[in-house]
Amino acid sequence: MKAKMRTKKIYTGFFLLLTVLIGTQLLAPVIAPHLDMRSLLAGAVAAVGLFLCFYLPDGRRKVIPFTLLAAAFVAGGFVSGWRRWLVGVLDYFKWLWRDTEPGALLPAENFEWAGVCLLGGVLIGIGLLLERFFLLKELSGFFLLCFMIYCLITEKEIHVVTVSLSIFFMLIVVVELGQENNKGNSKEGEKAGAGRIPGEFNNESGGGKKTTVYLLPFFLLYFIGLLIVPRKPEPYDWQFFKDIYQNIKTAAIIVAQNAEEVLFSGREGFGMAHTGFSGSGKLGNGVADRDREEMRLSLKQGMGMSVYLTGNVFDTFDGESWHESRVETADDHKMDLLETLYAIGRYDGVNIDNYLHAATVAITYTNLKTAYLFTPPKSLRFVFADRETEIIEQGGQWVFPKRKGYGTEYTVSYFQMNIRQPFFAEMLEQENRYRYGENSADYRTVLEPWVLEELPAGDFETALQKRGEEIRARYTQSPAASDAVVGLIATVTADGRTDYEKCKAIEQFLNGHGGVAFKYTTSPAAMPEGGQFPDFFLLESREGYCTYYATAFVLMVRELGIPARYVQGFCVADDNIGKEPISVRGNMAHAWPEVYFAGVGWIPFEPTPGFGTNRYQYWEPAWTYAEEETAAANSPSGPLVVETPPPAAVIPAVTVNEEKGPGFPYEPAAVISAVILAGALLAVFDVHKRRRHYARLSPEDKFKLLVSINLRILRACGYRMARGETLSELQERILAADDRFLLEFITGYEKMLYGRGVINRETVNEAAAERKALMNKIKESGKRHYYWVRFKLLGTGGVTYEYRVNIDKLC
Amino acid sequence: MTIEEIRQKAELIMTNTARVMVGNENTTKLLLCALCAGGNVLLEDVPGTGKTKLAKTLAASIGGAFARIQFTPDLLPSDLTGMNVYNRKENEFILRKGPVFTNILLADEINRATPRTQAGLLECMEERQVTIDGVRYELDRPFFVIATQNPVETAGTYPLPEAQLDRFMMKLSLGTPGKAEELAILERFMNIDDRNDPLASLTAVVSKEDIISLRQGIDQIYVHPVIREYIADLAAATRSSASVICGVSPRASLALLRSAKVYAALSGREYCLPDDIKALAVPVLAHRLLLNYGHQTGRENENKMREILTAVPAPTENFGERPANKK
Repeated sequence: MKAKMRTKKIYTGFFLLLTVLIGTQLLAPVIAPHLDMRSLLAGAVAAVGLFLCFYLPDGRRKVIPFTLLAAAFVAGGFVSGWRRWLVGVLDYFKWLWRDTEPGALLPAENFEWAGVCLLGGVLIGIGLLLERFFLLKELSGFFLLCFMIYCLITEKEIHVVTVSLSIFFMLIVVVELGQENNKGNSKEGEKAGAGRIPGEFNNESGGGKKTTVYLLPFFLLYFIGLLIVPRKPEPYDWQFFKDIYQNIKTAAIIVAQNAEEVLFSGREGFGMAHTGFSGSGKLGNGVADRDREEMRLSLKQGMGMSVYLTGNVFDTFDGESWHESRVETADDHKMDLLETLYAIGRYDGVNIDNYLHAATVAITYTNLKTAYLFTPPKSLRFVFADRETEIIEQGGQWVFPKRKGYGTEYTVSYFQMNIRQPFFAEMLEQENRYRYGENSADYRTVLEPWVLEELPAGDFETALQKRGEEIRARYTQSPAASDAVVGLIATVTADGRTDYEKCKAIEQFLNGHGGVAFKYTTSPAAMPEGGQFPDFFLLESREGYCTYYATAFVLMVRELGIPARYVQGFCVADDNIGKEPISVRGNMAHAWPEVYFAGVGWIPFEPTPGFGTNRYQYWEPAWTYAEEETAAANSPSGPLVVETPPPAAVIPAVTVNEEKGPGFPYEPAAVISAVILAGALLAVFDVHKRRRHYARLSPEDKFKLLVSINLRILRACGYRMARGETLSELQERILAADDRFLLEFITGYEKMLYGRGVINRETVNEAAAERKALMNKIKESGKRHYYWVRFKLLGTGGVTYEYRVNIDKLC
Repeated sequence: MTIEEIRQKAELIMTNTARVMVGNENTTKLLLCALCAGGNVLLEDVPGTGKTKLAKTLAASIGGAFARIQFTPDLLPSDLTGMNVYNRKENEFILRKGPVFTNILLADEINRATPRTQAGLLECMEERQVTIDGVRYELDRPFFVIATQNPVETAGTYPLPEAQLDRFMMKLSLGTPGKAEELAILERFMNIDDRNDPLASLTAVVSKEDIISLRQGIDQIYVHPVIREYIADLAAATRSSASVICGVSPRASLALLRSAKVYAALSGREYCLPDDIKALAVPVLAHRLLLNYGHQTGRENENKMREILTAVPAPTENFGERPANKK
C-alpha cells in the first residue's frame, strides 16, 4: 500500500514536471543558449539528491540531501563571489519589482545564478518549513496565485523562471489538497475493511504529507533545467496563457454557435432579427431586440465619430422585402472611395482633410456568425488576422465564401466624411454636376500620389462613367408608386433644386420636419395584406423603425430617378468611442439609405427620426475658406493616411492614454494589501472549515484527534516514547517523573486502540478536558515553556488543524 | 463467567494465597495465569524460598486434589502414574493410581529424576492422560503441574532438555525476599505447632469447576490483530537475534498469546495490551531460548529476552515513530 503510494507520488512528480516543462514552452525557441560548468554541477548535485531521496528508506532522512543541496547552492553562490551574489540577489528583486532590465547591474549570467542560489536556498528552507505548516503552504500557494493573477491582469512581465516555479508550487499544493480530499472520502471504506489498528506501528515515517519533500528535487531540477535550457532573454509575457485562454474561448464559442445554428436556424442570416440588421431584407419581420454582443470594435485611428458598419446592401424591393442581387463586382468599394476623393480633389485640392479623415477600425466577431463582412463606408483596405481569409465583393457589400464566426478579426482603413459641414454639401452639389469626360479635368494632377497608385488600369474617368451607368441601372428600380405617393414626393421635394437638396428634403420630411409627424417604434402597426408599403407607411401608419424609414427613403428617392440603396448594418454611437474595445450589441443594429451622386459617390442619409445626431457629426475644418489662400500657401497637405489631428476639433480625435510616470507604487501596495486581506480571509475560512470538520467527526475520530494532541503536548514537554515502549509504560514513566499530569486519557486510548471499546461523548470530553488541563499545567509551570509548546503545536495545527495530520495517519 | 467475575475470583485466590505467602504477588499472579491458561509451570529457585509452599497454598486455595512427588534418581514412571496390581482375592489386576491422578501436582526437584521419569511426567502434562499397560486414563480437569528445580547443586542431576523445557508454559522464580519480607516471614511462621501453620487453616476459595468455567470465560478476551502481530514480531526477533542459537517455537508464541489473554482477564480487562505481552514475555519465552554464551542459568536468558523486548517496537500509535531515528 505504502509502496504503491510512493510510486504514485513519483509518477505524479514526473507528470507535473513534464506538464510544466512542456507547458511553459521552454523547449521551444532557441535564442540565447548559454551553458556553463556550474549549471552542470548543480544539475548533478540535484540528481544525486533525487536519487538519495528515493532510495533512503526513512522519510526524515530525506531532509538531509535537501539540506546539503541548499548548502551547496548557497555555498556555490558565495564561492562565485559573495559580493556579486549579494548584488545579484538585490538586482533580482529590483528587477522583479521595478522592471529594470534583468542584469542591468551585472551580466545576466551572474544575475541568474544569484537568483538560483537565493531561490534554491530559500525554496528548500521554505519547502521544509511548509511541510510542517500545511496551512502556510496552502497560503503560499494562494499568494502565488494572487501574484500571478495580478501579473496577468496588469500584464506585468515577470521572469519565466518565476512563473514556472510558481506554477509548479501551486500544482503541488493543488495535488496535495486533492489527495487530502480523496483520503477524507475513502476513509470510511478503509475503516470498514481492514481490522488494522489506526496508526502506524512500525517506526517508519512518511505518510501522505511529504509531497513537497518528494517533489522538491523535481522542483530544483526543474529550476536548474529552466536556466540551462536555451530560452528567450525576454521576461515572460503571458502569451502562452493568453493563447490558451483565447483558444479555449474560441473553441467553446464556435461550438456554441454551431449548436445554436443547428438548433435554431436553418435559413441564411444570423439567427437574429434586429431593429435594423438581419440576414433577410424583409420588412415588418418584427424585432427581437436581442442585446447580445455581436462583435467588438476598436477605433484605432480617426475622429471620435460614430461608426456605421455596412453589413449587407440591398438593391431590389418587391413591395414587401428587399433582395440582394449578389452580383459580384470588382473594386466597387475602392472605386467609390476614389470617386469621392476625386470629387474633393477637383473641388478643393488642398484641404482634403476638411472633408475626409483617415481612420482605422479593428473588428472582431464574437457571437456573430455571418457571411457578411462589416465595414464602414469609404473603406480602402482590409487586413485580416487570418491572412488566408478570402472575401468576395458583391456591389456595396463584402461577403465571406463561408460564414465566419467567433474570432474573425480584421482591421479596416477607411475615411470618415465631414458630411454635416456646409462646405461638404456645397462640394457635393457642385461636383454632382460634373460629367466625366466632358470637363476634362486631369485626374492625374488632382489626385494625390498615393491615390494614383490605387487607380485601376485604364482611363479612370471612363471607368467611373461606366460604373455610374451600372449603378444607375441597378439602383433605380422600384415598384410602381401610387399617385398619392408620387404626389407626396412632389410636394416634399418641391423646393429642391438639386438632387442633393431633394434627398435632404425627403430626409427632413421623414425625420418629421416636413409638417407631418413620424413616430419611431419598434412595434409598428402591421401592413394589411396586399397593401403597398410606401402608401401604407407614408400615408397611413407613419410609424416604424429604421428599416421602414430607410426603405421609404430609398423608394422615394428612386421615384425621383436618383440611384439609392438600402443598407443594413450596425451603428456604433460616438459616446462609445474611447471605451475600446467597444462591444457592438444586437440593439445597435441599424438600417439606412445611401444615395449615389454621380461624380461624388455613395452618400449615406439618415431618415430615421432620432438617429441624425449619430450620422451628422463633424469636425471643424482646419482652415476656413476666408483663410484658404494663406493657409494653402503655408501648409502642404500631406498624404491622408498620415494622422494629423486638427487643432480645434469639435469632436476630439482618439488619443492613446499616456503611461503614468513612476510615483508611489500604489499598484504593488494595493496588491499586497489585497493579498494579505485575502490570505487573512482564507485563514479565517480555513479555521472555520477545520472547526466544522471537527464538529462533524465521529466521537471516535474526535477522541483520536484529542489523544494525538495530548500526546503531542507531552512530546513537546520532552516525553517521547522510547523504542519498544508501550503507552502504559510511557504513562507510568511520565507519572513517575512529573506530578503535573494525570494522563487518564491513555487508558481510554488503549481501550480504543486494542480493545473493542466504544468511544462516547464523555470519553471525548474527558480527553478534551485533559488537553486543557495539560496546557494549563504547562502554563503554570512556566510561560516560556508554555509558548514553546504552543508553537510546537502550531506546527501541526493545534486543536483544530490537527486532524489534517493526524486523522490521516490514524486511519 | 464475565470478566469481572474472573477478576473477582482471581482476587480471591490472590488474597487467600497472600495469607501464606509473603510478597511475590506477581509470581502468584503468573502462576494463576498459567493455571487458567492450561499450562504448567517450572519454578526454579534455590531451596527454601517457598516454592513448595506456594504450590501448596495455591492448591489449597482451589478446591481440588493436590499431590506431591519428590523426584529422585530412582523414581520410576510407574511411581508417578500408578500400576496394575494383581489382587489374588479377586483374581484380577486392579489399578492402583499414582500421584498424577490429581488436580495440582507438585513435582519437586524434577531435574533429579532420570530422563525416563521426566518424560513420563511430560506426557501427562502435554496429553492430560496416562497410559498404564496399554489402557488410557484421562486425568481430571484442571490438571496443573508445578515442577520445581534447583539451579545450584547440579551434580547428579539430569537437566531438562530444550524439548522438555518447551512444554512448560512459564518458568518462574520466587527470588530471595528483602529484609522487610523476611521479617514478615519470620513473624508469620514463628509458631512451631503445626496447627498454627497458616497453610493448615487455609480453605478453598474457588472450586475446580470454577477454574473450568473461568477458562471458558477467558475466551471473551479480545486480542487485537496488532497484538498478535507483536507476538509474532517478538518470536521472530528471538529467532533472528545474533546470540540466540535457537529461538522460540510456535508453541511458545501460542503460550504467550493464551497467557496474555488470561493475564488481561485477571486484570479485569476485556482486551489485551502490549503491556500484557511485555509482562509475560520473560516468564513465557526466556527459558526456551538457547543462547550461544554463558551457562544456562536462566539469568542470561531473561536478560536476553528483556533486550529483545526493548528492541522490538510495541504496537502503539504513531507517537512512537520518532525515537527510531535517534540512533
